[in-house]
Amino acid sequence: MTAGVSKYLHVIAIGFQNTFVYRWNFLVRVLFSLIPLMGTFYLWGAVFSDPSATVGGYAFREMISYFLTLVLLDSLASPTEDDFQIAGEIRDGLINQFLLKPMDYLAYRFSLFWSYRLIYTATTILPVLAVLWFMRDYLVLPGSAAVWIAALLATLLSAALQFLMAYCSAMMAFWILDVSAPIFIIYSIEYLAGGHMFPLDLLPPSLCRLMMLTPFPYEYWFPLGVFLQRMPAEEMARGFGMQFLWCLLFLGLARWLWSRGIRHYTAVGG
Amino acid sequence: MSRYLKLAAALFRYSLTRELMFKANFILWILVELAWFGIQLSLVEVIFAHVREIAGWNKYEMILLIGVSHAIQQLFQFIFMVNCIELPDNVRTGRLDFALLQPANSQFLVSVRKFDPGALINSSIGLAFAAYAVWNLNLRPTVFQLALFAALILNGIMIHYALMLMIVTLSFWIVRAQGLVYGYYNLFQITRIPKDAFKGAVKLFFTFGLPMLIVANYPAEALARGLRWDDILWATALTIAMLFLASRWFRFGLRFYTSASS
Repeated sequence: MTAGVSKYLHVIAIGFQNTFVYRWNFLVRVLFSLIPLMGTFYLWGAVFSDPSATVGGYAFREMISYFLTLVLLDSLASPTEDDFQIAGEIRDGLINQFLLKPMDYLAYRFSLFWSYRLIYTATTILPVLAVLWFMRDYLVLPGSAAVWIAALLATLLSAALQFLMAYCSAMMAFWILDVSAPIFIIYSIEYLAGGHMFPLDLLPPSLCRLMMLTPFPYEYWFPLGVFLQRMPAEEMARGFGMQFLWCLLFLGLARWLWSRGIRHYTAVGG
Repeated sequence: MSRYLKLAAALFRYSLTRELMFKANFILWILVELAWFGIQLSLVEVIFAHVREIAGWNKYEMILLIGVSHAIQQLFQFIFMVNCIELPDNVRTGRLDFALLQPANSQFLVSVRKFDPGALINSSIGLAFAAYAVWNLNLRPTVFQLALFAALILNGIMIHYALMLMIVTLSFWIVRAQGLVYGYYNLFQITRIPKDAFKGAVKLFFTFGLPMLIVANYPAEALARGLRWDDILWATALTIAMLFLASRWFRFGLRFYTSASS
């Protein structure tokens, strides 16, 4: 058991070293992502023409909080290149070694995902915190330790779910040569149905309930809702259940796609 | 001039043939852009379920703005984007030699070597939505207004091009300039927002520094509410100045190109 875990700790350590090379890319990425954030701020500022007005139950400050927290969540939990790297490794035959070694590819990629996230967060936390501090008047923070813990748990489950969904979409590489267009289409659905574009409760209630049946809201909308304390306890409990369930389902799907894919795989390269 | 038009036509035919070799992919990429455009429209739909106007723009005026912004972005991608994305790689590998050795203007060959025909289809979808908005706003633009609209769209494309050329020229000094090119995608988002939503220094910056608020706001306003002549004149002057600067900057950068290989 300890040997089983320790080899993946080594993967994380190697991941650190590999990823550290990209620290400037991460920084540039975060700095550029501040431009849309600024656009969002001014767009919603114009939507709330009267600062004391509420839109769909949100005060201006709460709306901006939603998008600010989203920046933090993206940094902590969203895969950056994982899907494209996995697809590339399948296409180029780099997964051959995992068919021979006592190492599980999914666990290997999951370890790499965490080293990525940690390095990404470490390099970008200063600018992100600077922005949050600069916008502190608009930031609504949880009042109690319990909410912080619940939000952390929801973030971790969101990270696992986002990773597993990215992993599953990368499995398409077993069957098609170029996965980038389908992956970008999946991104667009995640953006809309996950609440990345706008809080989902701005939708008509029936549509919002429909979205909650899909896995997407548990990537962004649910952890943000927990952090901003926008849901009653009962709804939160159900949300955690759904988040966990979707993780399990996508874990199963990932295993199944892999075993099917391997049968289809031709192992190019040497 | 006509020689360059012929060249561009030949390059377009070549690009189209290339793209159609992978038909499924060609269609999928059109769908990708369409999906993202749909998301923008759904944001408008959702916002206007709760409010009546954004910075003085009603729902159909917003659809007009987003349609125009999308059309301009896609026309820019149709002509320039692929080439701009490839320049850093061509500099690094020395493949830029081939463009420099041809008996035609280097900036022309670097900027319009490959077209992206899918983007042409997406730009017409953007324009179709703009037309739908114009219809619902009960606007009946005159021929003159339409000509002005077309000229301001061209102006918007050229703003994107001038800025992008300035950015990719950095690849003569920096190896990994591609990150900056992809970063430019974030700026497109500013073009879809009414300019009066912005305030103070940020508004000035996106009007004069990185003139994103001129790109789509001006053509949309020219149709929906009319623009003042002095606004049109200085916006055009600004674009011409930017194009001139970008061209000089590119030529300056080119002097630092050392090729690769033997």
